[in-house]
Amino acid sequence: MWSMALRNLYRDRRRTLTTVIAVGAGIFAVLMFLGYIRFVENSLAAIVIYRDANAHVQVYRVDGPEQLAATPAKYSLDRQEQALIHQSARGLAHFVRASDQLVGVGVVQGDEGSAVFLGRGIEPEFEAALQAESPLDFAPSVMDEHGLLLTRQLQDLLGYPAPGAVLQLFSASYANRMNAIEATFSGDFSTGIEAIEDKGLKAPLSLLQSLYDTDAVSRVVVQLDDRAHAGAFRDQLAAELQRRAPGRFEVTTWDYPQIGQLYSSFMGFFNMVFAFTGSVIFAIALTTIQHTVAMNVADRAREIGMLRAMGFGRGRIAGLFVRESLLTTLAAALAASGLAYLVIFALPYTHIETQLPRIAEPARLTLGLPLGWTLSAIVLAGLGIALGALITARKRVGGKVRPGRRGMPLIQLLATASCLVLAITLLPATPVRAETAISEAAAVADVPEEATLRQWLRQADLARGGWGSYQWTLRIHTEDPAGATDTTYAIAVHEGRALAKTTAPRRYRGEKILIASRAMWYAKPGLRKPVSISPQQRLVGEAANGDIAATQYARDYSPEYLGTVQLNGVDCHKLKLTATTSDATYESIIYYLDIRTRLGIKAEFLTASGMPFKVAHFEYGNRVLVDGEQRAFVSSMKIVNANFPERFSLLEYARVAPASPSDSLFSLDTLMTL
Amino acid sequence: MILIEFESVTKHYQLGEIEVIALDNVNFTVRRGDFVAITGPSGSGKTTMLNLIGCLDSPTSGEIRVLGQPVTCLDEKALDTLRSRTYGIVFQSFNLVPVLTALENVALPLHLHSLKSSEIRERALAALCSVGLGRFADFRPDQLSGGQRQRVAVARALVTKPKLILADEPTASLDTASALSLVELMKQLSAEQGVTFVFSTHDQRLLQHVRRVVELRDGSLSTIREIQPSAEQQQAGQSEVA
Repeated sequence: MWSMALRNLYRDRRRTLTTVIAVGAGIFAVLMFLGYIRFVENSLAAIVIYRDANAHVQVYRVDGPEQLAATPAKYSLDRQEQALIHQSARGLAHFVRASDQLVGVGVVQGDEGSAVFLGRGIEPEFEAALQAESPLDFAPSVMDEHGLLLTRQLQDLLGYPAPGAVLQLFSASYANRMNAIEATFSGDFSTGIEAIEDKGLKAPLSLLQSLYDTDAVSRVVVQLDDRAHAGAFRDQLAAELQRRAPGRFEVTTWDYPQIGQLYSSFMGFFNMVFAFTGSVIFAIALTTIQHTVAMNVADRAREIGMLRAMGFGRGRIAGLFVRESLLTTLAAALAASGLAYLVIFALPYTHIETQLPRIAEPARLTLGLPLGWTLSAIVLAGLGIALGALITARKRVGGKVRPGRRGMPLIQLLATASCLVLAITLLPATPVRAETAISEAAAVADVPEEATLRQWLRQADLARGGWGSYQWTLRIHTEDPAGATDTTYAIAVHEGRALAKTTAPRRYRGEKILIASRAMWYAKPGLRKPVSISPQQRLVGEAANGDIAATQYARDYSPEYLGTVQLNGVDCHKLKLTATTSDATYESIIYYLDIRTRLGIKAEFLTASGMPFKVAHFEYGNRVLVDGEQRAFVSSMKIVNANFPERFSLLEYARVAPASPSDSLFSLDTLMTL
Repeated sequence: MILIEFESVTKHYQLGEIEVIALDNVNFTVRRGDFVAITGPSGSGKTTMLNLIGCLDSPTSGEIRVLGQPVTCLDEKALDTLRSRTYGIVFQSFNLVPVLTALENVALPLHLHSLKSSEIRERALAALCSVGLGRFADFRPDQLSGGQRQRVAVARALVTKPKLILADEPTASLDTASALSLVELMKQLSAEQGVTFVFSTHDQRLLQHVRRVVELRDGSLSTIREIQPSAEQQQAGQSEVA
């Protein structure tokens, strides 16, 4: 039957040649595309593993990959854990080297501006050794012991600092205290992730550890001799760590979605494109073969009838056409493979370059196509085509033999798809029903005038030290899953300006926060100049830095009356305060004023989207004598995270007294010398 | 021994809205060793009858038995097996596979039997020699004359040693001499190998060479005649074949 099939193909050689060309072109396209995907896959893997210094395997505290960003202190690895991981990894096959890394957020400030950063602390020697073994050519990092690498987008936000320029990094430490350090700008790098490219910062591990005031790290990364071993190594290391410290660690590989985001997203896209293109090409090849089979059946109706009369079953006769299809596919595959390998061989001599995602320099296009991939593609195509041919042949042979159907299934398919796409495109978008805002104000009968509201706010601000001249001691007790901290400040306020000096713990003495008008600065011994704290940075910690000293709602917010409510049996005015300046700490606040005392007893701090993210409760147990009059003064303020109630800060105000501090106390020029 | 038995067989075709009665209540038998010609004008039902005998079609009503076994209840696979083991078929237009040689064409039905390739070749060559075309074994159909092609077709029908050979107008594409020669060959094979032949024809000259003639008219069996050809005719036919 094979011989007969071969001879039939030769007899209809013109038709066979046309089919071979059509199918061969499809297979060639698939092979070329496979080669390109492999090139991209290898390049992206090299970027994730070597250029981005993720190495092959990473070890986190359990749930670390998901939770590190929210609670870095809780999910970091302490020194003992780091040592355990290093020791466990070193004993396994394919281990090359391991290193510690730290990730964190903060604000970076240059002479021309400041911006939020998402930083990664890396050991420069490890990175250099890792990158030296990369299969892909790219500009290596030039990070030195004290240098910072910034993405181009972050540099743009900072006004393109010159190499060697001193930048200030500012953030909350792992103990939730403010901290700042200085470092020099060294050069460029890319995160490879679009969403965070404008925040990318890379620093030596020790530098970032000093910023977060910790010796913990976020993860330990392990380089292997070949990425093919990553999965097996991960399993072995996970098992070893589980044996030595059950339930404490989580081990990932470089292609874990949250690590190799660039790889995952691009490969996901490429695989989708390949699947779509491959399907279309396969459909074309299959349709071509089916047409050929249908034509052959029609042309050889007598032959088929004769064979059936002899006793040849439908399956046997269909088998003849399947053999012909397979031989055609084989011929097409051989031709396509030969051409593909010729192109792959010739490509390096053409010096064609292509731009890879996240690589600044163009890369020389070199395609590689393992024989296994080629064979798999051919076998899959052959099987699919054989199945299609078998179905067509059985159908045609068994039924009434008739000329090939008019109309082309592929064209019909494409036409249907086009119509669907067109219909989807032209269909009017379903109108989104706008949510009706329910204004509580509408239900309010008597709305106080704005001047009255501002007067109430000013009165409430006075009781929190927002106006006038006072001094007091502030103790902040903060609790979160990472632990509890206590810090004590000496506060002095004078007509809207405030100075907070850290008095305890001892190691933080000398740190200062200056609030003058709407600006805020942080200073500590060792810095060359104070760090300006942006409005966003004032939100650091459960007790915002902006909450440490008094805030002036009457000045920074526009009030709107929302009616009266009862809170714990106390009748309150409910106000919505909207920031009138971008320097305000919060976008908006729902503020509850005691109707009787006009003191603020609760504040809900809202995000830009209007969702509460912190809630503050005030108590007024202090009394101060001003102008011969006893006035209530805030004694405690408890600020609770609206989403995680276990995270809170308790601010306790003590030794409140009127004061007359000099203006020089609130001057930026003297802040470093105080 | 009765090979084929038709009992009240009727076959209707639907041509659009018109129902055509191809065979109407036919009762008929073929015995082993018969040499039967089915004759009648065009459209009388000759080919339909052959198709029903060869199990290539099924009756609208009535029963057909092959070797005593009713065939109307057999499934497709069983019918395939029955055809491959019981019948040899010769077509009007030879229906040789153009890409195969004469020998390969003859060997084709043997691929349905579990035989070694050497045995297949041996038997095919023997069949080809039995129709006098041994030296044309490697010729393709387009290199043979019409008469030679039909002999190849007969050899192909013979090669599986069937109990019955059906031939639909086997001489229609041949000139008179080739036609007579073919009929004589068939008679000779019938006599020598005991093969039963049933063929359709409307060529009156050929009917003198057969022993039994079944005549159809408008789908009905009109007459069945037994003919005894003369010794000269038999002699002439044999010398042409030789």
